Amino acid sequence: MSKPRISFLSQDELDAIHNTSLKVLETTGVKVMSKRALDILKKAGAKVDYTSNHVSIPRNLVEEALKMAPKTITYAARNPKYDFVLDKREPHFCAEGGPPFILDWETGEHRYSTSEDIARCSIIADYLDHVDLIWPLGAGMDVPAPMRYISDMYTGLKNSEKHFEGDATNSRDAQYQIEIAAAIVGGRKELKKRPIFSHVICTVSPLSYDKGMTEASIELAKAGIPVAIMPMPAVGETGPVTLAGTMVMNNAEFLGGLVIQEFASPGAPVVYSAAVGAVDFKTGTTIPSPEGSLMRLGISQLTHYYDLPSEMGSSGSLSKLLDMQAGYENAISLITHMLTLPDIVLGLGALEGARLTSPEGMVIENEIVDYALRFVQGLEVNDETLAADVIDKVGPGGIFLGEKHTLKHFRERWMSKLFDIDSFEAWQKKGSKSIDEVAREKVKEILATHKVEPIPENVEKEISGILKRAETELLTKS
Amino acid sequence: MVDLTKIKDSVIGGEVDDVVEMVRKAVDEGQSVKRILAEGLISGMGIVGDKYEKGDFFLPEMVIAATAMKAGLKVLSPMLKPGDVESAGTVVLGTAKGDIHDIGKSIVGTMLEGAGFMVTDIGVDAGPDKFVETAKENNADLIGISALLTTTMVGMEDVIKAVKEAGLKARVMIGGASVTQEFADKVGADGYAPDAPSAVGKAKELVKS
Repeated sequence: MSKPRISFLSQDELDAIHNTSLKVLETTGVKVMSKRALDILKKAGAKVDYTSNHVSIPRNLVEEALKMAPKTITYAARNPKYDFVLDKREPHFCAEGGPPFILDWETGEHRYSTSEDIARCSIIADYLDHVDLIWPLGAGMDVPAPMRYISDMYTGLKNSEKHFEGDATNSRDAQYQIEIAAAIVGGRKELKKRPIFSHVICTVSPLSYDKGMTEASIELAKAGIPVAIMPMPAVGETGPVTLAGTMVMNNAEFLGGLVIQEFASPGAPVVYSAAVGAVDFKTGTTIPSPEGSLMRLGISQLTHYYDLPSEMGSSGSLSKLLDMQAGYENAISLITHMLTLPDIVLGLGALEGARLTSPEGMVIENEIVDYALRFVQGLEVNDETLAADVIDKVGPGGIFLGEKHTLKHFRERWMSKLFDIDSFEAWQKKGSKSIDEVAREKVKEILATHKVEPIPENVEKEISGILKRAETELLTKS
Repeated sequence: MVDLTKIKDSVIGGEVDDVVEMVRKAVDEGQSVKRILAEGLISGMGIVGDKYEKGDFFLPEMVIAATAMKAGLKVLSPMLKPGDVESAGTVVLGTAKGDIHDIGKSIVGTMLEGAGFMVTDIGVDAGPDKFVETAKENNADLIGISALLTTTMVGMEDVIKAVKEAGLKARVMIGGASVTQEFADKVGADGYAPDAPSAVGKAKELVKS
């Protein structure tokens, strides 16, 4: 099978990015705001200054961390049929995480999202065949802030049987989330074997590690929960203006985070992630751009260079509605990202630069992924596919439709499930609908018919106990 | 004699060292501090702001010009008397407690400087006390609070409460990826701006009112 792939950086160029990143970590160093992380780095042999929080990370620590990091990671799910392995064989897809707003599919209103939205979007994501893991689509703005990430996780896990990807702003968030997931799978040991959730932890570009998120990621490392380290340097703002320079920034920040994780808990499952972005120099906003994609594709190549599992943010769309811009930006981004074969591509179901959830958008992107997956699978050239025999049999002016060769293979051909392929008259007869209307109907149909296996009653009881404890601790403290 | 229009041009060009050198020289020559500020530094920054408005200049040019302007101002500040600084208003800016995202607020700060405001940036992870103290020290007309995360935007409300309790004259405006006008109204902010360019218009409006 010949598969189309993108691989445009040479070995020398990858070496140069790697070596420059190591130089940055050693000479420029990083700022780590967590004392716990500073202790880990100091013990590992880094040069640590506790007053300024500055750390110089020598080359050998990065090399050791790269050796300790697992090359493949299993992302388990509440329902084991949805388990998958990050092993660079095929891309998986993640629903976008935590947009504060939602484009209400019933009223068309642009409003803050709620726990109810997360629940409904999780059901939709659970139904869609190409969504493999769910970073909650929305933020539970109805939940008090200190409880939000814990509550959002439980809402997601309850309303989908697939792998969940979460957020945490401090170690308490992480500890409660670990407790909840352990209750579902039957204990912490089992959770370590079958992590039904993972996390995305962001560094703060340039070259800084926040206290809360870093300590959450250490907590997760110790529990065996996979952590995707996601730097977000923006060209010319929080990273150098040159694309290679911002890639170095992303890489250095990832490697610094990897060192913390691996020395906190050797063999900790870490996923390489990147949300490098191009910038509109008029307003400072990060924008989808061919240059953003170039950097991400280059970094995806770096993850192959390191042989590490990867999760790449797609460039997404800044469109505020499901229009042509949303369609082409998402399609271009999804297809190009898949051509470098990352383990996970994330961003399904988001608009407005990941600030806005669109359930219909997720339904449409599920179909784009279907299209793109077929594309990256490539095509086969052999005697059977060259089809000399059947060409000879049908001959000039004949027809292939009724041939056995056709019958044998036609179901291998890609077929549209959602996109409009009708004649004008047929389309008109079906109500002259645009793709967003078709997707909206699909959303309604899914919500009316799709059933998610509930969490057993006794487990739910246990979890409400955990949530009550969390509320008592986190809400009274603040 | 240092030609003040040369200082102005160097601010526009973002020539930090040249600005400092010329300002020092002008002071040594005994030129009016108030004029160096008004005709050199502030008028230079004003032109940068205009160029940005017209679409000729972009953020990197604004930031470097603001750096040059502030470097010049630092030379002058020990000699400035109250009333010497004729700015569009005094602003205290910061990112809410628990949030360490810097860039959005910094861009707003630069844009405000471009529009003639005097800006004090108190940085990230800033609690109500820091906002109130700095606003008092600078006799601020305006306080700007930024937050990126949905979990930290609640911290803005605490700052607004503290500002009101302290009886400060400063108006409060807020912004950030998760913030809306609806949220701003709910927490009692005087203003909200969805992005950096509109923050300037909002700031002007709030300072006047």
